[in-house]
Amino acid sequence: MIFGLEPHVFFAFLSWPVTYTIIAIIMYFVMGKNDKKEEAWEKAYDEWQASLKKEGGEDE
Amino acid sequence: MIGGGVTEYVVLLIYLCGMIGIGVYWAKHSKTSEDYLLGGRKIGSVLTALTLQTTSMSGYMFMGGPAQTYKEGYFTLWYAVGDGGGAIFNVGILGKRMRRLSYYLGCLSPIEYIEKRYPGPATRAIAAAIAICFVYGYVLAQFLSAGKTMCALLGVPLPVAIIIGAGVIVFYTFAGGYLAVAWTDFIQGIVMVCSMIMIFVLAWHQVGGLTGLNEQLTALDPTLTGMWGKGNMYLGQWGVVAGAVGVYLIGYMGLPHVVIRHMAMESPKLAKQTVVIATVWNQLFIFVPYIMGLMGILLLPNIEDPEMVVLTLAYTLLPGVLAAIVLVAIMSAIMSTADAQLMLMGTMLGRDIYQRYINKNATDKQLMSVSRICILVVGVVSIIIALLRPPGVFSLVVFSFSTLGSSFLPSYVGAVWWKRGNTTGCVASMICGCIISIIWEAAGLAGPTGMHTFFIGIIVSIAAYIIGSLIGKPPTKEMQDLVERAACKTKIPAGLATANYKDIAPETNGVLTFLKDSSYMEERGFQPV
Repeated sequence: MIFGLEPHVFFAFLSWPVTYTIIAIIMYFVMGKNDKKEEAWEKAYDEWQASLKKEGGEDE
Repeated sequence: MIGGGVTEYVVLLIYLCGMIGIGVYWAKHSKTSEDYLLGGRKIGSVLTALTLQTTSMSGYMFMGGPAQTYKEGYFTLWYAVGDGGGAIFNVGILGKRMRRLSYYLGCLSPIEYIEKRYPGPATRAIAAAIAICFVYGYVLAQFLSAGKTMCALLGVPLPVAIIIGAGVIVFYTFAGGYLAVAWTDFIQGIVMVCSMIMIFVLAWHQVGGLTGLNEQLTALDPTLTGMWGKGNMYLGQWGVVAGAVGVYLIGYMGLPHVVIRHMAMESPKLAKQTVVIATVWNQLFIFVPYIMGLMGILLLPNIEDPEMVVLTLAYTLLPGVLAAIVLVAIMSAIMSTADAQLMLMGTMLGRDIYQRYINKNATDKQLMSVSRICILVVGVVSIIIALLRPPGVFSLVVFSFSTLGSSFLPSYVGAVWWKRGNTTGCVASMICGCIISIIWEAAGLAGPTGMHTFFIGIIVSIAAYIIGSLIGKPPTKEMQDLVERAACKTKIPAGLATANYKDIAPETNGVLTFLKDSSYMEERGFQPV
């Protein structure tokens, strides 16, 4: 028995608050890691677009 | 009537005045339509998390949820299992990408977002019709709930209660727009969770903790602590369990008044904090009321109306002022949902109907004024209808959630995760999801088939979206590029992509940036990098 419940009942219902909190914390770090990549990507994208515009302007 | 003393009136009055004050304050700060409709896209992570969750949770969490566990035992916690993880799915799947794409497309409303992502004459008309119809049903039901709650708890006559409760919501939404809604939601979210925890801690002590609660419940009736409900009434019904968990786990991604919160985030980077805050808030607010319903079985075995479990526990265990705050918390739960829906109605009627079909050249000021007027008109009309109390309003709200979820979920998710998703798929999914939900509910097929309305609605809607998208014309190259850009997946020339990559040491990056400064290079006779 876990807290007076059959183990399968406990895990089915009451293990979720802890599980979800852990998942959210893991997501925080995973998303944080992606943020850095995405920030670098966005910067590179803006530079790329600016260079394309510049090339287009020169062609004209 | 449970309350009705001077303390309750004073606490409620202070609360309602506070809400009005927030509306007045933010009225001065909403200068453009983007400010008024989306808070200028400057909403931080804490505010986003709380407005997202309080909008999702209505007065049901204080009354309906605990009443169900009181009657059925642990089985009802399946709903909490789904609800508790809702924010992880909602923010994790949609948050960042929807924020980016809506910004790139220049959208102010979730219906405009659908139309711009899936261009076509039918898209906005169908989306707006479904959203306006079912969100309006929601608004009406929340106004009625606000009035009925005040009436039941304070003994105020129902018409007066509806006018006061709904009138305050209409006022602060009308005056302050999205920022007022977000800030009132923030305060309401704190009041809601603090009240719930206060009663929970005291009730926890009374029943001897979780072990004491479970042992006493098992001694009373072993099926109360089983997996299939009191008397094993749902034995082996995994379809019902899947529906109960699924509805709230993924359903919020289809609700326009909820997903608009992603569009208002200050930056996609805030999504990570939002996930954590919203999830922790969920665990405190969602599981606790359901468990309090179980505590009610032991502490209030002869209660007449199980919906009053939480409130009766509050009045049994807490001193006067704190019990009165619980009354305010119940009103907060109702108001935080109603204001978001009312705000969305104003946004849709102003942006998606007036500016789209009536005055395409409307100025920013005109759009803001029209949205304000729409909020006021919808609010006043809803109050009048609520006073007349038409039959069927509550049955409408029962399947509003399922219908909205089934109609929009595939389109919102597909918009940012599948660049091939197109107008045909979107229209097919909205029509099929909406129609199947209405038929399923109207024909009462959920009981005999053991399939929840949302469950069948979402399956049909997803199938229609995929088939329609594969049959229909692919989105334009520009749209596909935008979807990839929202996901940060467009292929950038290698040199540029690596120039800023994280693996380069910060000092090196700094040198590169310095050297790339064209004025520095030009002064020394070099071509810019």
